[in-house]
Amino acid sequence: MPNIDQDYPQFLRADREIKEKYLDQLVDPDGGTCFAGQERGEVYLLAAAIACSLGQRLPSRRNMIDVRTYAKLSPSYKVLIRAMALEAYRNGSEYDYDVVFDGKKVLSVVEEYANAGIKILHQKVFEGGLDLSIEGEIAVLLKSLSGEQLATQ
Amino acid sequence: MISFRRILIQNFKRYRRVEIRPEEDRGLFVFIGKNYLGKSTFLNALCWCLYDDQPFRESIEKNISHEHSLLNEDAKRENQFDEVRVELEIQDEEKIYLFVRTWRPSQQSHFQVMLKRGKDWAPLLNPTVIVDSLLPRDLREYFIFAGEDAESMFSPGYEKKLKSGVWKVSNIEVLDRLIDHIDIIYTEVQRQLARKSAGDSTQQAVEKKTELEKEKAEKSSRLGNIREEISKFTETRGEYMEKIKQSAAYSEKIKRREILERRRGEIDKNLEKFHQDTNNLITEKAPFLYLEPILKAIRDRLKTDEEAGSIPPSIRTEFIGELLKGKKCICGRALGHDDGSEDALRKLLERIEPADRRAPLLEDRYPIQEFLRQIPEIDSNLQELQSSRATLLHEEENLERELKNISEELAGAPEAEISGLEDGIRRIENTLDNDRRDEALIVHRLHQIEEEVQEIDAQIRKDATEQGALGALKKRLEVLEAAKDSASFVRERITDRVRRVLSKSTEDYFRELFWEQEEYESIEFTADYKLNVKKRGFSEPSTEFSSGEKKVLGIAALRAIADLSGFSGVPIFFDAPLTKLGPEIEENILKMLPRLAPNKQVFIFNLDVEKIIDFSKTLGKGRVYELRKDVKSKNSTIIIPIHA
Repeated sequence: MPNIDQDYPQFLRADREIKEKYLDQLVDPDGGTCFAGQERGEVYLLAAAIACSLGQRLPSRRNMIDVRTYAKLSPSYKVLIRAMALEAYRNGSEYDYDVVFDGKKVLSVVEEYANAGIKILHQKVFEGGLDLSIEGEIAVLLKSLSGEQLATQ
Repeated sequence: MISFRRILIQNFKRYRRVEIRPEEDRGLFVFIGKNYLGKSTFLNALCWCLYDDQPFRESIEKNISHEHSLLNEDAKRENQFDEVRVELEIQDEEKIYLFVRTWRPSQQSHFQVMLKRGKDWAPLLNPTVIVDSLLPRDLREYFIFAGEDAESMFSPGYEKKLKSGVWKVSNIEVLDRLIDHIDIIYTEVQRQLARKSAGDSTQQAVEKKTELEKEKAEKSSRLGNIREEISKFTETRGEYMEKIKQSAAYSEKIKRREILERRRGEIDKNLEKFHQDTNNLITEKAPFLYLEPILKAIRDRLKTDEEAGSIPPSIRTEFIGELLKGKKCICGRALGHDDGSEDALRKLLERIEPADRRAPLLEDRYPIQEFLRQIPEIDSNLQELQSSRATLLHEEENLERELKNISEELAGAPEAEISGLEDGIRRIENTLDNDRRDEALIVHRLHQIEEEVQEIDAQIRKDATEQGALGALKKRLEVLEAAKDSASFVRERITDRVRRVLSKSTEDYFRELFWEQEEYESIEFTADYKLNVKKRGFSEPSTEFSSGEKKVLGIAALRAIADLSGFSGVPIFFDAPLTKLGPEIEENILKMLPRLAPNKQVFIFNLDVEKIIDFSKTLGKGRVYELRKDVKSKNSTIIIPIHA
């Protein structure tokens, strides 16, 4: 069976400015945010997921910086990343399955989602641009997935 | 005067049995004999009897081993355990003693002295004391000597020996010991005096007392300060405690507040933990929650595509690949170009391979499914965390309210002061502990000082009472000083006198004995006992003497020393007076012999040379004896009187 990951780049990356200006502040152990002291790569993927759910992508403008080693991600996160790539290249109800075999393309999509998501997350946490706190938002998300609904899945 | 009345020698070396009975208590007795017949042995027999030693060197005759054994060889042949016996019957003025020494092989010698009482002999308890009273062993060499001894009297280094001998016989040694003894007592008294020196001792005591009193004043002052401090701090502590007592009403509330504050700290810590757990949960699970619709859609689509065959299992391409590699159809027939079966199979592979390549994507359905299954659990976890946090927040809210109430109630209480007071009391108690320790030490030291001062006072009083004893010691020291001076003076005088007497006696004897005495101007001993002989016509003292001169000087000195000893009445035993002398000197010596000691017995032992035989003829009956080999036993000597 062919290996999906075999041609994937080594690192998940982000726009250097976004990483240094927003992500580092979010995970700063003394920053007082809910992400203080958290793993930078995990927050990066959360941000990408948020942006993906909102359909927002932001290509890196200047130079990029490595955030996390791809190979060290858990299988679940890898599935998540492929899902984001499939979603990005979805045409109506059709998925372009071949995109997941192009690692460069997959991580590039995730990077664009992450750039956008980090800024959203930063805004949520520091500027209150969104009324809901990240915790409240998750609770709402969970509530929207009712027990019955889940049982049928 | 002492005289030998009988000499018995039995089984002693060469002598099987000889008995000599000198008929006169003075005058010359001559014993003549050839070599090896036992002249020196005779003298050794005397010494053995009296002193248990044999100082004279005996000539050794070949094949006879007397020198190795005390027991006479002939006696030994008859009885190897026979007794050796020497008896000396000696008269000292009115008393007649019998000295008997016996010995048997393998036994100790036995010595006995008896005193004649009537016809019987009474044994005396201390035989060696009797010997010492008649002729002490130390003086023996001046009464029993050989010609060689006389001649060697002035051999190099003689001064020291002579001086020592003279001091011994003239009791200067005793004086020296007396002076030493006085010295020892003197030093001891001096030491006692120094120790009891009332002046120094009292002065030191007074100085010490002054120091102690100074220390006492300082310590007392310090003690006063400490006690004042103790009193002050005790009072302050009392005040503090009173204040604390007054504030006791608030203490329960303060305790409650402390408990609440502790609980608040715990709640804060737990809230922090819940917050962290929530954040971890969100960060980990939220990406999936956000993408839940997308993930669900992908899962569904994958399922549909799989069912429609657009994502077939990868086994399909692998299987066709294997057939192509093996060049065989599934039915076992060989694939070939001709029938187009291989091409057909290859085209099929090219068509289905892209679809089959997607097969791993099907695996993604399972993590998605698993995540979807976890959603209620995540929800539950989050709710649980939130609920716990809410509980804690609620508790904290109540707690804060209670705290606020307590704080309001305690608003009027001197709580800060109380805690300060408690600290103050602790500090005061520490200080009081230290002060009390210092107080105890100072009191102890003051007590010591008191005792020391009492001791010093006692010492001063004792010193005062010892003034009298001190005077006595000083007096004693003076007496000892005088005694020492006197003894030293006497010693000097006696030493000088002894030297002069010795010089005079030696000169007199020499002039009496020597044949050319008119050649000599003076003979004397210097302070260091160097013999100073001046001959007429010579300005310097003579340093070299003929053998005759040396022998006569030696005899004269021996006689002089014997006189000094106070034992001048003891007989003389003179072995080999003519040995190693020239004919002329021999004659002169022979002429001298009758003058040697006319008032006591003089026993001469000499070789049977013609001159002495002729000389013997001049002596009276019973005065000449001859030593001969026993005709019966060749190993023994007999002594027979020669009638002149």
